[in-house]
This record gives sequence, structure tokens and C-alpha cells, in this order.
Amino acid sequence: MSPLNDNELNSLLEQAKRKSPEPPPQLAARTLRAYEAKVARSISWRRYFLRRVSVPWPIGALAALLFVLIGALTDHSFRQPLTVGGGRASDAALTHPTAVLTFKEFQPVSEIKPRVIRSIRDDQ
Amino acid sequence: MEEQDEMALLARAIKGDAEAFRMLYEAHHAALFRIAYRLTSAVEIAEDLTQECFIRLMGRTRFDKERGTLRQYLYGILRNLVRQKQQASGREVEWDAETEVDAASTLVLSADSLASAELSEAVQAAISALPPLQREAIVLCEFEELSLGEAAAVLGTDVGTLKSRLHRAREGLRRLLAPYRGHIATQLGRGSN
Repeated sequence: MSPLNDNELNSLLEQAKRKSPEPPPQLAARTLRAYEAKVARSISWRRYFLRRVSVPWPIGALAALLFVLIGALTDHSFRQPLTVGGGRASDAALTHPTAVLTFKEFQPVSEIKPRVIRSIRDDQ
Repeated sequence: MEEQDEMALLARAIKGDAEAFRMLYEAHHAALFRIAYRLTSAVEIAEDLTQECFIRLMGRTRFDKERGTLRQYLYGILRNLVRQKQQASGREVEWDAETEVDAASTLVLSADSLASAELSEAVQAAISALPPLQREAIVLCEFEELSLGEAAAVLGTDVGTLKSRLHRAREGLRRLLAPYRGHIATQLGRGSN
């Protein structure tokens, strides 16, 4: 069968173009709901976290001072010297591992028990 | 709608202005739906992709008006979504194949099946039988009447390559729709009466 000529094809395409399906009316509402769910919600969260809060300066200064004090106290407690038998041996091992571990901890292996591990596929 | 207006609407919509979003939707949804339908041949999928297109537009701030219009950008998003959808469903893996239409193997469009179908459905079936790159070219240039430059920008190719795809697509459609010659004559006869 011989192919269509240009005019015949153009005629067909023109008819098909006129009969293009229209988007259903409910698509607008659906898309708007999706927009509100995904975009508006994330924006409201962003607003919540990034919103400005005005604080009177004496309270702000007091809060800043409090933060500095807490920081200093915390730092001081971490720098307390370790006492032997003071119940903080594990802390000592963590903070000063070289003071606890020696080469005596590394004993030679008394017996070697090798295990060969292989895949089931190797048998096939 | 003016480009500046669209940019302002887009900025407002991204900030959460639902009315601005609705106006952008009204301006572009029909064309996006038509293209999605022509590329996928499924109304439900076309609806999903049209919706997803707008949601992606809101999620991304990479739109650069120096690189094209909002319409082109939206068509580009839609094109990528269609590709992802069809590759995920395993229907068309070789998107970049520039193969010719094999009239003997594609059809669906045998003379018998065409005889009972509506002309527009037959055209859609023929379009869906084209290789994807040719299909995109024919849908954007013939159905949506984009200029070659606009369509090439959407498809991320040059005008010469697009012309070549368009030519091959039309050749394919001529062959695929040949069994419909008689129906064309009938329709044209009715139209002239």
C-alpha cells in the first residue's frame, strides 16, 4: 500500500488535533490540593523555624550570660582530674587510652581454628 | 501571558500564594495535558504527569529565564517525567534509538483494526508506534505548533537534528496511516458537504 501524501497526512493530523482530549475539570482541584500539601505546608514549617522573635535586650543579655556560665561550668567539670579508684576507670580508658592499654594486653593466640567459608554456588 | 507576569506569578507561587499558582496552572495545564496524552496515549497518566509537572516547578528554583520561557521549561519537565514513567514501566528503554518505524512489526495498525477505529484514535495509535524521539518531535511541532527553535530547546537538541526527526516521523506516519486513505477521503467529503 502506498504511503499517504503530504496533504492526506496534514488532513489527518489536523482532524486529530481538533479532537485532542481536554483535561478533566477535577484535575485543577487535585493539582491545587497537591500544591497546598507539598508546598504550602513546607513553607509554613519554614516560617515557623525562621520566624523572627523579638526579645527585650535585658532578657537577651541575661540569656547570653546564662549560656556563657553554663558553658564555663560544663567545661570545668570535663577538666576535673581523674582519681584512681574514684569509679571513673572507664572514663579514663576513653579519655586517656594510652594510660590504660599496654602491650601486655596483647597475648599470642593459643590455638588457631581456621574455618573455610564458601558459597553454595561453588558446589554447583 | 507576559513573561514578566509569569515570573512574578512563579515567585509568588513558590512563596505559597495559591492564587498565583492557580493562574500559572490555568495558563499551561491544557497544553501540558495534551502533550502528556500524545506521548503516553493514556488519559490517567497524562493527568498524573500534568499535576507532577506543576509540583516539580514549585519544588525547583532552577528555572532561568535567560535559557528559555517558562512554557519551554515546563515542557522540558514534562518530557523528563514521561521518559521516567515509560522507562520505569519498562515500555521503552531505548529512548535514544533513532530507529525507523517498521510498518510490518508495529501494528496494532493493521487495516482491519483501523477500519473500525476513529480517525483521531488511529492517528494517536500511529503516533504511539513511532520511536520516542520522533514522537516528541511530531507532538511538539505538529500538534502544539512550537517553532523549530522552541521545540529544539525543549528537546535539548539542535534544529537540524529536530528537522531530521520530524521528517522521519512524518514518513512513518504516512506509512502507518496509509490504510486510512479511504477514510480520509470520506471525512474530507463529509467536511466539504
